[in-house]
Amino acid sequence: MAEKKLRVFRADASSCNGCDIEILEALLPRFKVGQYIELVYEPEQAEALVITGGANFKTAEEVRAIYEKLKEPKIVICVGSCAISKGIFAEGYSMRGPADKLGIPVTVFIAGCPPRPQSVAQAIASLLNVEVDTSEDYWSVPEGFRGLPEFDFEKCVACGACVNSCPTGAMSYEDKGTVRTVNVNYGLCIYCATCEEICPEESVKLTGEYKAWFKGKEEMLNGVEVPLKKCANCGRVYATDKQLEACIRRLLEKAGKVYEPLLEKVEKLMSYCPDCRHSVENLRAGKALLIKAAISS
Amino acid sequence: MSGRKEIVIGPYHEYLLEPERIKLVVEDGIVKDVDISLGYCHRGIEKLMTTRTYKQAVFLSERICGICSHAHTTAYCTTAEAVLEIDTPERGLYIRTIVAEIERLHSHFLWLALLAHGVGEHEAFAYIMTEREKVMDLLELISGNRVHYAVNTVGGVRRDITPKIAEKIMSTMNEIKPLTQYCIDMLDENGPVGKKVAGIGVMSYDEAIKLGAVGPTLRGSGVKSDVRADDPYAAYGELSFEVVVEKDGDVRARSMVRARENMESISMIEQAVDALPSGPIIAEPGEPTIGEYVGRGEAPRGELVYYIRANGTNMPERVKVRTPTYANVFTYTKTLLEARLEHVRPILESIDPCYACTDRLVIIDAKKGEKRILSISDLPFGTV
Repeated sequence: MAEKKLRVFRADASSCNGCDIEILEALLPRFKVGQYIELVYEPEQAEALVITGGANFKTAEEVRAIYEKLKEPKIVICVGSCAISKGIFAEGYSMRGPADKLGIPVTVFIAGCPPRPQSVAQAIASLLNVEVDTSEDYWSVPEGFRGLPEFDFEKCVACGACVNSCPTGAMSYEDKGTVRTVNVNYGLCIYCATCEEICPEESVKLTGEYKAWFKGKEEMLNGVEVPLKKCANCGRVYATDKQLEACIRRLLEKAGKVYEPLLEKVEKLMSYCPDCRHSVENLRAGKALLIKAAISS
Repeated sequence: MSGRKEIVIGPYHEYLLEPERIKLVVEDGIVKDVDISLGYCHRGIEKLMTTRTYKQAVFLSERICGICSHAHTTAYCTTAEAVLEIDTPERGLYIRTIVAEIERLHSHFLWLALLAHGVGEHEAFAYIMTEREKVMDLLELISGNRVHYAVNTVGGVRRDITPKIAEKIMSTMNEIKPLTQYCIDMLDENGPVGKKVAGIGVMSYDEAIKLGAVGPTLRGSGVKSDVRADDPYAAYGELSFEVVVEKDGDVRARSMVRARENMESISMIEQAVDALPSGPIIAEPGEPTIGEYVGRGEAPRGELVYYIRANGTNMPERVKVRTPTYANVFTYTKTLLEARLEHVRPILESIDPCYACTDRLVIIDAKKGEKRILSISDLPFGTV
């Protein structure tokens, strides 16, 4: 139990209001954060600053000025994806944030869109080195909970479906040498579960965890590495091994009767990159293959 | 002029949940002029929406506001479904309606709690907020998140209501009926909050129409107008409900509209869960058309309008949103004038302002007063 309550100033830097209300709710008797912190309305009286939102052209200066006025030790808590990385508004023309870009050193990041009061409670408790009582019923996670997304390393084929469907760009992939890394950035994620919905391999799952606070931005990256395949003809990397395996598996599932006898030829054509596949002789071989398949079906 | 001074509230202030700057010109404790400067929540959402596909833009429209997010996606999806010529399945529409009404409950309860807090009834605030958690838990069960439900999508909804969830909805509705009655009693003319806010910030029937008010702000002045009844969308056409109207036009009337609407919402949710049709919850999108489309819906704060100009691609060419607070904020020019300084807070709160919604442009509305900025601690008003 903290001896003295931490005095907090809440600065809404162009948030949608969701985080602000969750903070207000975290202070309710139910979540027991109120015994450690109290809200104050003058920055000069506060030791800690809670920032929500990605700071636009009007609030950026205000937030900076408030930070200057804080009392030492100047704890800064960024609540929500917008405060961490501007979230879904990252490309907005009016956005000047996030906080660390404005020269405000951040102590704790609480991820979520918006973070749940439970996450806020845990983060505050970790700051003050106190234990949270997790025995209450609201600490059990309901079915269908949308927490931090995680990859199943075995299943992911690095096809990039999640990258294309993600509305914020929290999912990204990068090809380096012969390895493709698929990354999820919890600071940018809005927990909409589009990736979980779209993933053909059921590799991405939103976890059921309340712990969503991080001390540094690099902790918020979670990735999976998948080896890339080289074209049998020109040697250029063009897809991952697992992706091709998945294609063939699905082909056999859907039209096994037709393609099973032709499998060897299909695999050979698939081992070429798209450019080599469109060369004259390969195009001809491909067409012949399709005609054969059409006849046998 | 003696005793004339200018008071600036905000952008960060105890009274304001969200940042905005309100300038009051005050003479002997009476407000003579108001000037509102918004823009602290401007995020360029309309521009961003034109860089996303129709399905991805749902999440942007959701994040316009953290309280009425489902109302935004409902209005957006209704419009986008017209663009993509989708016939949304019945079950999807019913689930959309159920979530919309649960959201209205939580929004109205939050606002009623904040009003109680604003007039110094801290016990009522704590009670309403604590009981309101039941509604939040219900939303988390249905959608997986307490705010930003991500239930709506273009073509229907993403999450089904299973029999187990339906049962939980029904039992929660029964549990919060006493809370709704508590709010109505609290706002009675002799109730603890009602007697403090009666007769202040009065706006007549004609003025409300002239100033273009919408939603509970308009209905509090006796105007019977509700998109759910006038132009039914989603499944509202198949539910029976009363459009709540109060005649007085003061802060109490506007609050009472919300408190009584909660009763209607509970009844609507029960009707919709009972009549939940079977079938699919989502339909496949068709080809994008070319043209201009307008859709509207009733958000907890009033009429919400979406305009989409489609150019036949998978992204909208222009999206325009008219949010209810933007329409209601002009009523300050009437309700705040000649108000006593200690009544400013309940009047500011009485339209249930949501600046996150509103801040897509900046309005400045008043003559210039004398320039003298006071600090927050100089403000003479504490409790009403």
